[in-house]
Amino acid sequence: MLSTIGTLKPYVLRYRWRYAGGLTALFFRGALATALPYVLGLSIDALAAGETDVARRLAILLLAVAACKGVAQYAMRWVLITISRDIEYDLRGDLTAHLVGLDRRFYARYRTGDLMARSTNDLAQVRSLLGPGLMYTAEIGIVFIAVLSVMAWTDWALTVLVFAPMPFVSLAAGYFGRRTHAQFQTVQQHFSSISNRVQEYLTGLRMLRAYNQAPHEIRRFGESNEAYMEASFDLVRIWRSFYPTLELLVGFTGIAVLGFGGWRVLEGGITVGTFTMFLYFLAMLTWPLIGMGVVVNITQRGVASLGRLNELLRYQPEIADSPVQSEPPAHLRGDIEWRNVTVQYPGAREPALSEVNLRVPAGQSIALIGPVGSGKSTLANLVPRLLDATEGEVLVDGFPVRQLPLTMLRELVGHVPQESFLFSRTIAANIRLGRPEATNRAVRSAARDALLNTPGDAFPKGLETLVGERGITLSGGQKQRVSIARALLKDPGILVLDDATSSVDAQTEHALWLRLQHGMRNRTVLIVTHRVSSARLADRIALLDNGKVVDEGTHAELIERGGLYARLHERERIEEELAKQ
Amino acid sequence: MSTGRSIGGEAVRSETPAAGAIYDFALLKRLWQYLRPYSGAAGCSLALLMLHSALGAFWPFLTQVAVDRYLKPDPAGTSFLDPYLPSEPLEGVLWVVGLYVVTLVLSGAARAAQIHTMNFTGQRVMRDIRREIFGHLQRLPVPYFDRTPSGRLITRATTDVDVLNEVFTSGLVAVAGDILTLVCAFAAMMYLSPQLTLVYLGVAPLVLLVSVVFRKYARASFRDVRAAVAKLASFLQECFTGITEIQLFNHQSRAVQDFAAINEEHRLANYRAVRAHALFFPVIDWLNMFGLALLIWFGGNWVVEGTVTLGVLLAFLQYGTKVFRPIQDLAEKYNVLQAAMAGAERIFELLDTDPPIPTRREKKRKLTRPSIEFRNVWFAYKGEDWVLRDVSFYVAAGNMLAIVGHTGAGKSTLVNLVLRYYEIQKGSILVGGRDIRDWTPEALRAQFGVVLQDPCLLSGTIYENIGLSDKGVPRAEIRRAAANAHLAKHIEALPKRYEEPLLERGAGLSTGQKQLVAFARALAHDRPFLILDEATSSVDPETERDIRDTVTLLLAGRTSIVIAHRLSTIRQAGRILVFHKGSIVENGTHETLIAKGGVYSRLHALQSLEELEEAS
Repeated sequence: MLSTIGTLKPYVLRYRWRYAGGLTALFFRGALATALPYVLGLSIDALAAGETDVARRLAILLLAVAACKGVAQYAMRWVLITISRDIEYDLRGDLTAHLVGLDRRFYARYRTGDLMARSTNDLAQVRSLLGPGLMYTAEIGIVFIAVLSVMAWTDWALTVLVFAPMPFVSLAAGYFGRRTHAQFQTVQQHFSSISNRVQEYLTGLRMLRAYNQAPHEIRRFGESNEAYMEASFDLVRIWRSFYPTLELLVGFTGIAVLGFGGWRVLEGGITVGTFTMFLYFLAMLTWPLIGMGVVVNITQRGVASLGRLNELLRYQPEIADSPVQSEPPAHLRGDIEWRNVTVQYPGAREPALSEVNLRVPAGQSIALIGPVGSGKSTLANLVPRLLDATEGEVLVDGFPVRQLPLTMLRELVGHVPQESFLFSRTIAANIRLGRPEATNRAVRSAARDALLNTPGDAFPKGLETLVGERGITLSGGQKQRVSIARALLKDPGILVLDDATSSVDAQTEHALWLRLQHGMRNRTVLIVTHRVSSARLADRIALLDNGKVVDEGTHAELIERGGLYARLHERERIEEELAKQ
Repeated sequence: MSTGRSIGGEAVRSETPAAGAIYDFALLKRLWQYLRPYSGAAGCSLALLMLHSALGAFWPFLTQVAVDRYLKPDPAGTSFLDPYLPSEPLEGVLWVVGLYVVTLVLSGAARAAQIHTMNFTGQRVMRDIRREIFGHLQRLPVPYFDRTPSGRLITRATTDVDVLNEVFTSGLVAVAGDILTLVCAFAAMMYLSPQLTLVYLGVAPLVLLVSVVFRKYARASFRDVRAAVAKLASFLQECFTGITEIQLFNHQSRAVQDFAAINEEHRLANYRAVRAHALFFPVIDWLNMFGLALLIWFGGNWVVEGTVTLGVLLAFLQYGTKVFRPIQDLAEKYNVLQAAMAGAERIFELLDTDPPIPTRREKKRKLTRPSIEFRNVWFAYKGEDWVLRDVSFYVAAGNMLAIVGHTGAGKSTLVNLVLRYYEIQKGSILVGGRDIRDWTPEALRAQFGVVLQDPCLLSGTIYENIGLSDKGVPRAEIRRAAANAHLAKHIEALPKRYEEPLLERGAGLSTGQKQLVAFARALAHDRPFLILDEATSSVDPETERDIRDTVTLLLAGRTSIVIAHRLSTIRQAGRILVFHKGSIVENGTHETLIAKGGVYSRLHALQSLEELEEAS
């Protein structure tokens, strides 16, 4: 548990002075609160003695002390709870900053719904731990100490009795705490799974509708729903007896005070006023005791949630800046070399790439062509380090990519995937992704180069048209063209087009290529495609099959050699001609 | 970039619930409907709560008895217990203690049982509501999902329902408990001394005033908090889904910066809530002390005069705290209740979103002639921005229609319309000679095998991804479909083969493999109609040939619409439409289009050449 809580240390230390202030206020509140029953006891004794005036003066004193206590209480709450909100803010910011830096392996493992649940729900639990949890713990401590000292000073024997049940209380708290902790983790897991079910349904909506999957989906959701309910109720089963147990223990203390105190009054050992004070202390102790239950609950939930956050926070991306970095040049030209590259996906039988050697000089273009699963996308993904090679290395301008700062590398590479994600913002904002400061003119020019916002697109507000969530209101081809414009705006030294025009019709595709070719001279271009018409635009072509580069050369050379490439070409030749008309 | 802010703006609008007590009452009434099936357990819980409260009110009364009868004997301090209690002081105190123990144990047991029954009810109600929400999502039309951020919908089914649970656990039942405690304490106080009760009630108006002010303030701040939470969720959701793009474009720091603004908004909203609480509790505590001071001021005199016994005054001092705790609780619970109400309102808003697909009439008719016809169809996603203009065509039973044209020409929209994801504005669409508005959407869709642009894989095994529901398609059928889609060789390469679990959105499979899964899915679900939307676009020629076989298999005996960019996929079409800007520019059978000498004739020339080539 200590190692779990360790995460919070720097955050708590950051606010140590405010914590100190808040705890001081808390101390005063505790002391003043303890003084109240004392004054009350005095006034009762005065009444018992028939001194009404003294009692009335004491009543006014009571109000004054209560007012001071109120001020301290306000300060305590305000300071301590706002700190927890501040830490929540810091932690959430840091968590998000950490998450946006994590690699694909992480996002393949944790589902979006799960991540959402952790960064909202679990974080809220940790916040409770730091705010109310900490405040109540300190409050309980102070009240205990204060009440204990006043009581011991007045009647030590009665005090011993009042505190006799305490060991049982802490035993009970420990027991319930452990069980709550374990069960709460289960509950949170089920919560995540519910969240995931909805998320997945929304993602696959059109397909699931087409296949009338409603009953099946409802049943799948029902299973998660039922499991979540069972787990939640099991949690209730654990603590339903906890609060009554605490109340019972407090009650026995009350009995001790009433019985033993009554006897002491009869004996003449204490006055009725002292007896009253004890009854009040008892009431004061009730809250801390019940509060202890709350604190145990908050703490255990908080720690369980913190554990779930730690899991994310301690995740180290494999793809990150290397500790051994070569001195990067001020400017990278974009020379790419794959040296003995082998990529083996976890769980796959065959390597996706085996011992690939390939080089593209800066300013040249290369097309990677081959059948599905031949490894062409994998080869391209190695360049912006969307994944790292299992063996061998990829070099840019002679520097291993792993030793280049990731930011620099990605600044250099413009990557256009086949299925690109568009944010629910305007088209222009999506194009600006890599260049938030770009002028409207630059955005328009990038859009023009990507043949976006042509009359055929019919965007109601041009580039200021809002993209629906997940880009759903745009057609596949429009999405791809937004994605291309986005990459072009970066003016990248290396442009990777990973089947980036598959949803664009042949005619548009060709026009697009013509425009792209215009800018290609000063950048290295990687074209991943299965179409010869696209491939032949490149200076050189690498033909991939089964994770190996089986042939390499210019279009003419490859045609001359015959084989797979020539066959692909023959099939497309006519299509190409048509598109040119 | 006006990123999160625009998302947020949207969120705020629909996150702001209408105010008003009548409204709250209506909500409660509606919630009651969910409670009804469990009214037995709920009633039990309430009865146990009453017992718990009554026993609690009994304790200060025992103090009075102990003091007035034994500790500081006062002949005026009589009680109904007197005939049963011994007169000897020490023995008497023990008796009182004994009574205390009995009530205590009873009260503890009642509380435990009450928590149990209450949560039993609450958890079940939540499950039911969750189930209803998810079921309702199944009925909502597709445009609704295109408009609504999925983060918001996820929140409805998860967090909002959890908050709603507070209505039952911390809310209604606890409020009832607090009120009962108040009533019991008040009754006991009246019984002991009406005049002291009146003195004590002097604080009541002040307490009420403070509570009302607090409530108003807390409510407003609470709403801001909810809105901020929704914004956080929307932002994060998008951030996680688009993580690759964010990273490739070095957008991380910018995203974090945008997030900080929303995060700050959330923090400030919470600050206001903290301030309200920090002020409220001390003020209420002070008023409590004020009440006690009043008791000493006036009651003290009466004690000295002998009109009130010391025991009664002592009991009153204890009741004082008993009365204030519930008042304080009530004000705080009101907050929780408000939160829950806001949640309830958002949930009901979702549930009240009617699925607006009306079915004119449902005639049980067998599909005799599976044909598709568009009659002068006009369609716009919004207003008058026509995506389809006066489109008419007819696909005869067992025939294939190929649609060619530019991207954005409205081809994909056809899928949305045929499957009735969207409603057309003018004209009519007939499936099997029958207007699709006369079909239930389910019955209509059950006629179609569909392969969409996005292959859409789910987390689950390959079996589940092809067969979908586990009852629908037998495993042997799934394996056969996979073999027919030339997918078997890819699946055999996986460690667990057909049982291989796929990750969210099929991560780990190549795009081509994902497409093949979608094909196998369409094959496994044997339907009279088929819709292919650009499904061949991301497949290389090698696999395209595989798929061509599959398509031929699928087309056999089926009425189909194929939207394709690549010519190779439309070669089997009996009829071809060339689309441009939402209109059909060429429409006809193979022969008529050839004769016309337009775009299609050139395509045909190409195709013939290719065929020649393959034959050689």
